[in-house]
Amino acid sequence: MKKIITAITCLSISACAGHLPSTDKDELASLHTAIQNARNAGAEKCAPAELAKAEAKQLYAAHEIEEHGGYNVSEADELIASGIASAKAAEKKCSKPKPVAKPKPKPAVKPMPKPVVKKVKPIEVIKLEGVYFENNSAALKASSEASLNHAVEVLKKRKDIQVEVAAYTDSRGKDSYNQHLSELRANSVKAYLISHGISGNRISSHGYGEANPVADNNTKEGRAKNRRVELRVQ
Amino acid sequence: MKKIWIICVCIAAFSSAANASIESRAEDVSKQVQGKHDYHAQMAKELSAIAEEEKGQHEVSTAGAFMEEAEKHAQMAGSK
Repeated sequence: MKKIITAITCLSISACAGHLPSTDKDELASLHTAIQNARNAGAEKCAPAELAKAEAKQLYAAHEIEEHGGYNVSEADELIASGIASAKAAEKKCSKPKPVAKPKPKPAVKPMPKPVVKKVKPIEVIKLEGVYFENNSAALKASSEASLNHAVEVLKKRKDIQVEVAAYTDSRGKDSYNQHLSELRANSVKAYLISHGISGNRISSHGYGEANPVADNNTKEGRAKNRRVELRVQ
Repeated sequence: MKKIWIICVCIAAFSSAANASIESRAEDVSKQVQGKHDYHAQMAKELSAIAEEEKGQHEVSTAGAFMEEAEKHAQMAGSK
């Protein structure tokens, strides 16, 4: 008798030791899936209340199923449906589309800046008409004085300008010779101007040879025009 | 027969003590998760509520199991 009483006592006490039911049941498959979807959507962070409700109901439903030794439609079904609703709510809450950031207004298309066309200041050329040289020489003819003196006056009036004495030849003769001769003639004119009171700092000289003809080198008149000296304002 | 009676009384007393315990444990859980809203806090609240409901239906063992789980979650509540 004593043994029987002890056995009954042990059974009674062990009956009191509860355990959580397993949720691995076919009846809970749909709820399990819904919970999994919610979890995948990050519900543990963004919808913890809804997820917890769903999971708690899953446990409760599992308990109800176990308790009634089978599928208790009236209670377990209700819990499952409610759990699915909570899980779906959690999933929905987490998959709410983030507010679409307003597209930044496109920066106003600035009209292409007009290419800056540097206005090329036309070179001012002071022609020295009537400046003559001895043949094949850089020596100035006396008849050139009037024209050169005019240039001196201009340079004295316009003290702010600097000039380049540019000398040219016609096309007769060798290029190298013409080049050399033009340089000598340019220097002659520069020297004349300096000797008449124009600062050497304001004058440079350059011989261009037979380049840049302004007239036909096949005619006498044309060649005469091409043999020239200019003052190019810098 | 007398012994059987004693045992029954003991079981009834144990059962009563368990019932009271669920209530106080639920209270503890509630205090523990107060102001916390994370997943574990929510689970603790839900499971504690189930435990109390089960206790109300005199399912003491089930209530104990749910409460135990609630307490586990309550301990984890608020931790990051």
